[in-house]
Amino acid sequence: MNSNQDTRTSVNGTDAVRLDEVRKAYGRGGNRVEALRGVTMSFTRASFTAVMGPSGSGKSTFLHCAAGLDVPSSGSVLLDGRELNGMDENQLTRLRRERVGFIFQAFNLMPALNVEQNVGLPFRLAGRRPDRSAVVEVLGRVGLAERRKHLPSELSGGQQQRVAIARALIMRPAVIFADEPTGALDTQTSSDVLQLLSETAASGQTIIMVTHDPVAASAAHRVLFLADGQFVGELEAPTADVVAERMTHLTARQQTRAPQSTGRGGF
Amino acid sequence: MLHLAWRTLRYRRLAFLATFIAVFFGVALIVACGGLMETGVRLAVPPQRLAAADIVVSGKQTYGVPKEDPQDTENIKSVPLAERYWIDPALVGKIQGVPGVERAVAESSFAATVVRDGVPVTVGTASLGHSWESAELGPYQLDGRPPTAAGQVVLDRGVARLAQVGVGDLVDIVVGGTTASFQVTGIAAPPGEVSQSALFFSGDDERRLNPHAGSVAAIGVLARPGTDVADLRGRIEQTLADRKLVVLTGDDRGAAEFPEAVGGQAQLIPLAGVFGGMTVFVAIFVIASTLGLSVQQRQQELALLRSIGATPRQIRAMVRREALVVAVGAAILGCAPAVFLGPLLYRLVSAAGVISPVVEFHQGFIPYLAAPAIGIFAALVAAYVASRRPARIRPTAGIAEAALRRTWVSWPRVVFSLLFFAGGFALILVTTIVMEGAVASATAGPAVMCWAISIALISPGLTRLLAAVLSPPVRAVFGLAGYLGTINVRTRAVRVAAAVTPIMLAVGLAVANFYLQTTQSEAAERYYSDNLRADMVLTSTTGGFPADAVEAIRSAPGVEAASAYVTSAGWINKPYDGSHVESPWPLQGVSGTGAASIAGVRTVAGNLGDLTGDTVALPEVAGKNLNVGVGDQITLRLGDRSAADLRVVALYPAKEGFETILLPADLLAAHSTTGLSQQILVTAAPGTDRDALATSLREKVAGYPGTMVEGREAITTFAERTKTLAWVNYLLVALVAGYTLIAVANTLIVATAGRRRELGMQRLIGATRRQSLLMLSVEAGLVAVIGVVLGTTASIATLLPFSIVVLGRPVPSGPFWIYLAVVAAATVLAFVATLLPGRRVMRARPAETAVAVE
Repeated sequence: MNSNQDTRTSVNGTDAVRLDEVRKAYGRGGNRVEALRGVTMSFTRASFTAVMGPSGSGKSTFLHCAAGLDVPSSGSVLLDGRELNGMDENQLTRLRRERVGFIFQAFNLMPALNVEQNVGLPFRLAGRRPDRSAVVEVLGRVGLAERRKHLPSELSGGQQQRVAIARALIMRPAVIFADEPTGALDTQTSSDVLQLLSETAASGQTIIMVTHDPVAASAAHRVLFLADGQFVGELEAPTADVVAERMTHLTARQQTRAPQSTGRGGF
Repeated sequence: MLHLAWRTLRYRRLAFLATFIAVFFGVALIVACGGLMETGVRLAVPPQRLAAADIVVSGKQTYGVPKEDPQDTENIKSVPLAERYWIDPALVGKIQGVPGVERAVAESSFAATVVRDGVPVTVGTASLGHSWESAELGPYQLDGRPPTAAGQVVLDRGVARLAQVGVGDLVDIVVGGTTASFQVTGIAAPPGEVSQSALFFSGDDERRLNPHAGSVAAIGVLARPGTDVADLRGRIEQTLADRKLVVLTGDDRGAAEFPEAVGGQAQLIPLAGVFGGMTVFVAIFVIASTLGLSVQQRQQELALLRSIGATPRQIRAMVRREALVVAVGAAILGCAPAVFLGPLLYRLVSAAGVISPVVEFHQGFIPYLAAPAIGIFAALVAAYVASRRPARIRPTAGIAEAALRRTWVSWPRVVFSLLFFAGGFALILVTTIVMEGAVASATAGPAVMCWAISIALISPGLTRLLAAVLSPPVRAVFGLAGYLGTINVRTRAVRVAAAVTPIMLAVGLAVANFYLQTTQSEAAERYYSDNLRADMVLTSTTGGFPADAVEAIRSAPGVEAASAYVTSAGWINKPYDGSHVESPWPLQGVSGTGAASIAGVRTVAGNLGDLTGDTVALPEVAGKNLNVGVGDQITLRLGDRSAADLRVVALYPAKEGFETILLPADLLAAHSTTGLSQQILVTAAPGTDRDALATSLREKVAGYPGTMVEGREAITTFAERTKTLAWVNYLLVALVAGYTLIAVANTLIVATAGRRRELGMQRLIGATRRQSLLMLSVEAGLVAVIGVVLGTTASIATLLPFSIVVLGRPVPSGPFWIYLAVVAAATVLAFVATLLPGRRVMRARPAETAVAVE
């Protein structure tokens, strides 16, 4: 709701998020695990990208680093034109509050707050009164205008995810990160939620979604494949079948390579 | 953000109930302690017999002891006198001359008791005789004629009724141990409620009977109508210009009737302060535990807040606001039970003898303002402690599954813990090296606090450590339940510590305070009466024995030696003695002739047989410190403020810290409030049977109505005060421990109820209710054992050195079952508070609870 997107775009180019040689390692000494091994990737505005990869491929670490939830060991992350490197926790928090929206697989909502209050929460965190008309408008977009006064526990899983999307949208962030947003939903509800994400991207928001579900991935404009901490492939205008086939290969490859653990991307 | 805090509170009512209860009861206790303190500070004693006097002039019942330099009149400590300070009746004339005084009337008091069929008749706490003149100060309403001649008396209505005598009847009255017959000329109705019996004699009889004839207790002043009492008081003070006198008005006047009330002040104020402080201290820990638990339980929620843009500072602010909202509500409501708790506590405390019940209980607005403020402050301190961890939660914790808390100890905590440990250690060193017997508890008490804080700070780490130690045996005994239970306790050390810490506090404080007190009592009992060899003790309940009684007793068959026995307290004025400033020297009076055989001490110099007339026997250490020996003169300031120049006749060894000064009984009795000795100590002739001696003594004392014949345990010692304080200490420690345990119960209830999802999941994968409950039992058992072990450690670390100092052995004195009872209470509570909510949680269908939104 603050400075509008057009000025940001004009100043900072066309990429909403750009990662440059990002590495992330956990642990020390013998326990050291490299989750990201030099990831370079950019995400243009108004794009809807799915990031896929087998378990342990570094999907979550990628998402955390790209969203400023975690700090890379090396490399740089540009989020909406801002270099995250060197920001302290408070600056990162403020950046997240204003330019980033999140949708998680579950536990997206504060159980004590009703739908309307949950959606308005980012405003309160920023020390402002929630813009009522904006809340009503965004709840209308996700089709929950009638459920404004309900508590999360009174909603179905799909409805809860739609509230989470509404909350992610309310600040009109540059990027929305979604971590397995359909992981806990049935097929029909999943498709509703994905439809909603698509529409959001069409209206100018950048969406980066981590998933392992080929059907979910096929809703995106582009699919990126991650294995052993590196991007190993990319599909434009994906279909579920092609994505599924790619994933089968990747999983098999990671399994055979895992014992040697010297893996490098080959695409 | 206040809005968010409020919504969260409403949604998680149970989680905040524990905090609410901790603040609620904490504030109630602090208000009550504040009431006790205010009562002590005000010391309002409404007058009874002197109700009609606008102003009362009386002796100042405190003595200014020079703290360092005897010449320094500024740096003095005001200490209550042990006996009444009598004043000069000539002051009546002086006061009479002050403009605005209608009349000044002297009041004298001496023990006088009606006897019916050989049994004393007393209504209230004491029976006192006065001159009829002073009845005007009541005023007493007379039914009959005033006593004008010798042998006449007016009784107050209560006594007359109880003794069943009317106007014109003859009645036996014992004064100074001697019984005489008086004719009742009238019955007097007191002006209001009175707590003592009053007998009025003619002026001549009063002068004849009063052992302190020639001095008066107080002078009542009736102001001329229309005179401003405050101004008059100023004028009287100016006229008298004597710092040893007090001019009292309003509710202070009663102090002249009940000089002992002044002494209670010095006990009540520190007592209230110590327990108020202990409550605040416990409250901070308990609230920090409960708040800590409530933030632990919604880590996921806080992580979510962090990821969508809440700064660590906002998280801290939220926790603080939640605490504030709960604390403000609980603190205000906590004032309600305090309205009843304060007076109840005061009744118990005054019944135990800490302070005279004639002192009026005052719990004004100050405790009601201060206590909630303290309670809220405690909650904010606790919130600060509790919010430091969650504010550092990484936002990714919300995306990953809510991580169990891994950090079980942090550096600042370790550092502070070590500091407090060092503090406790230093205090214990002081206890063992510097402090002596009677005052050792002054440093031992704070030492327990230091140990407790030290342990509390690192309790998650200690919990983990002890759980690790206990795991193998528990697993061996309880199988699967033991396996799951020990894993749960070890991995949730931080949450478990929220219950362990208050148990540790309750056990540590209760056990340490209780046994400090019993050990102290035993030491005082033992060392103060050690030097007295008595087989039987005669105690007068009518004011004392006449001087010839000792001779009469000595002639009884089976008696080897008999001695009058008087106790008081005073100071050595010359040479200057800085050793007994705050607590005066205990003084013991024994009859000179019997002194050598009754006082079972070996003298190192001189002879106790010489203890007659103006003489004194000193403990060896006092002789050495003051550089006086046998034959030297010292000046003693006795309990009634009078100075006595005495010759030292003997020096004797005494247990360090429990020394007393021996004086001739008649000298000490003359300077006591009653003017008589109230006990006679008797040793049996060799080969005399105790029962035979008792029978022989009973026959002999038939002439002294109201005399009790008892064993040596009845000897009045300076341990009496320790005993009353002990009782009150038990009461207050029980209150604080009970308060802590209530908090423990709440913490456990909340903790167990917060595990719905986990318990539901466990049952989905095949655990039976029995298995789950058994697992919870193992956990509760571990919590109790760890809390008890830590609490016991804190108390032992204090009790051990303390007992070595005062008793000369490492084992403290006192009944062991108290320890067992404290441990049992803590354990039972841990089980009940875990299993009851556990059962409730498991009553729901597991499939529902497993997916429940927490």
